[in-house]
Amino acid sequence: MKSGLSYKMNDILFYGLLLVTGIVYLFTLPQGGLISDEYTYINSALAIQDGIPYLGYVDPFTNEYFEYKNSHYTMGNAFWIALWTKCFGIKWAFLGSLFLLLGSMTLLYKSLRREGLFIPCIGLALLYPATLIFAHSFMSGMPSLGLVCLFIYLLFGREESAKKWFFLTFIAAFSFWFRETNVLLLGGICLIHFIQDRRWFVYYALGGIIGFLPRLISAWWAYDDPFYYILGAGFSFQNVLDNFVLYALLTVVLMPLGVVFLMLYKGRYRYPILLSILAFLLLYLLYGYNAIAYSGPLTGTIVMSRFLLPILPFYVISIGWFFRDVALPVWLIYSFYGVVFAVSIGVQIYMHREASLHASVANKIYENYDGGLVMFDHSGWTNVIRYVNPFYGSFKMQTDISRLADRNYMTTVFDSVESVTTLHTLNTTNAEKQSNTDKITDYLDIGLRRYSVIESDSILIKNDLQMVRLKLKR
Amino acid sequence: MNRFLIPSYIFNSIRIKAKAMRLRSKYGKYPYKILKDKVVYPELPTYEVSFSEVYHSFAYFDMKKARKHYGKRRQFIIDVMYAIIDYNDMMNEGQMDERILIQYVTNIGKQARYVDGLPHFIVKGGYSKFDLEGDVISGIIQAKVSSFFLRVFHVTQDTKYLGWSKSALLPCLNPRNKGGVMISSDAIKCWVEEYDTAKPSMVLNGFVFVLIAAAEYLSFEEDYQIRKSLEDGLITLLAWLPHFRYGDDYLYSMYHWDISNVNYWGVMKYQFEHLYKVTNVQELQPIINHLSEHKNMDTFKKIME
Repeated sequence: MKSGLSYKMNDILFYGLLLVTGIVYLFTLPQGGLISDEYTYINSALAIQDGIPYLGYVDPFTNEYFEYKNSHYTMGNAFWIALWTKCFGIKWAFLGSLFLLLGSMTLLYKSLRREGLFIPCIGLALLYPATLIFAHSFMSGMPSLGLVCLFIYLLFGREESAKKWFFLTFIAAFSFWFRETNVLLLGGICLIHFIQDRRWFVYYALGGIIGFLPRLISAWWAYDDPFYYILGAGFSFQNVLDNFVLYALLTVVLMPLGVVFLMLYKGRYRYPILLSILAFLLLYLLYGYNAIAYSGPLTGTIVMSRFLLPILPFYVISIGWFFRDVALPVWLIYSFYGVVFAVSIGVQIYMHREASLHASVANKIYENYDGGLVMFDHSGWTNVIRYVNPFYGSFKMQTDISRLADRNYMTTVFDSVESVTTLHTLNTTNAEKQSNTDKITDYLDIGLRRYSVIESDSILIKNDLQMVRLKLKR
Repeated sequence: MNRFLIPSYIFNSIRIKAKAMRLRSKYGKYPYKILKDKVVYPELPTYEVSFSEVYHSFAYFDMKKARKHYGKRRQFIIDVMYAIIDYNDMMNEGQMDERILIQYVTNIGKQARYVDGLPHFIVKGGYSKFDLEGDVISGIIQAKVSSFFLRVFHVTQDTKYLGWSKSALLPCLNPRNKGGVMISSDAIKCWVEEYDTAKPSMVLNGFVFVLIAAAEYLSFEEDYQIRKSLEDGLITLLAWLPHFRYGDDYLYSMYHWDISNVNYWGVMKYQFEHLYKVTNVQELQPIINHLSEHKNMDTFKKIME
């Protein structure tokens, strides 16, 4: 009764929480993604499902085949989504995220229970904003969380053996396929442990090599380069100043006193865990990407909080360890669970409403704007991808908006059709990189000089975001 | 390439600013006042008008480069330049699309304000550098519109556009007291101003665009006022050109001691070549040679890359 509750009562509360979360999830099943990057994963997954690296389309006027080369990331997450789209269809593929949410929490719960730690702190994992929010997404945060929880389950749950470290190293390397920084955290733990206990080198090495293979093979297949990678932004010491407040907020407030409890952790594997987490945090402090610049303080902070999902289970373990011998009042534990239940339901309803808004815009577009040639940005770098995407439908004729500036192409088009439709989003706040939207503005500017606008309208998505449709004719 | 990343551009900018300051402190604020008495008028040069199918003054641009160069700047003169540049692109590619040209004509036409039946393309707002207030017309804008319409005529052979070309040019050839921007005095036989200033400002590149438009128009159709403006203008240009040059540099106008930067250096090189093509005035060769062979052209090319 480490928590003040019996194990049975803890089980009832925890599995009850999972059950409610799962049921609410099914009732609030995401209608689409809220983040542009999700759609690059979806497109990639749909292509993988068909055995090709990219989706494509045939230009109706030139018969050229174009690929949507808008997936830029390591492909593990796309393969994971493809598994679910293949089994359940695109609209139910979010079940994969639910599976990861429930699976991660269960593994973490079992780890706490088996180690004899303070069990109710599992609720903190669901209170961390990124957990439930990204469980309603296709982003790579959830697979990363799942792998970390599996890693922890094996780390604490098995006796020291070559086999155990083979699997742990395998998971660490395998996690690289989903998000590169995962390997720093999990691989760091393996490496530091190996330095402390130099047995089983071959097993570590084999686990690492085999774990890396999916990444290498898939990158070779999709990008023609097994070592392909993309840096969203650079790393520099200058960024520490910009990032410090944000990561302090994430690790002290959103993970309440997270850094403190991690530092105080003196349980098993203390140094491998602690040093790897510090290295992981340092890497993000140096990282140049800051979503607040694009999405504003609130949304930006939540978007950034996903980066720390991999350390969340370690934080929960450290809390569990700290309160392991403390018997908190039962009313306090019930109250805490009550808050977690309420947050779980509330966040999921909120996410559902947000996703429904985006889905309704997408549906309007496909219902009202199909017909003739539809031109929009296929690069994936502007947020038009959130509304015009194979996830929602397809147009009879479509092409990339860059071709609007191609005079010869447009002459061919206008020789066949009377008008074309362009779609682009208009942000009054800087919701995406300016250089990306500037390219679209360039194409539109050239097109609007050459052709006349015969119809225009827009769909107000939010106060600062509109979908603009222009109908042009020669 | 961003010009501020090019060392030679930065160095030249500093140098010409320093030189301008030195000239200002030595001769006072207003170059025209110092130089007007030194001007010697030559005879009318031998000339022969013709039409340059490609608008050579913008030969350094295509649509992509222009878009990169002008970015989000929204000015009517840039809209007209895009029209001409797109025309050039189509001409160079041998794939002229009349309908695109007519769309540009429509866009440009929307900006016209008709005074005495002639289209005036008004520049709104003031420009303190040239002490301008309120709405004015500008020689350079009227001339570029005229040149564009002339090309539309050349492509479509629709004489309506030839008429529009003339109508666009005429307003700026009128004297200032008759609503135009042409000035004349003891020292100036005929200069069509880019900026409608109370005192002569004589922006060099703006005037050359007017002469190009006039010469090209005359290659299609005779007109007394345009012919007179061209001839008087050529004489005035040749008389004043030596006074625009200071050492290895050229003044931008006679209103300030401002020296043309690398950007205008390139603009002048192409427009003087253009003027030479359409007038065959041999006296223009020395300035063309000087502009072409100067190291500033290397920097200009880097900016346009």
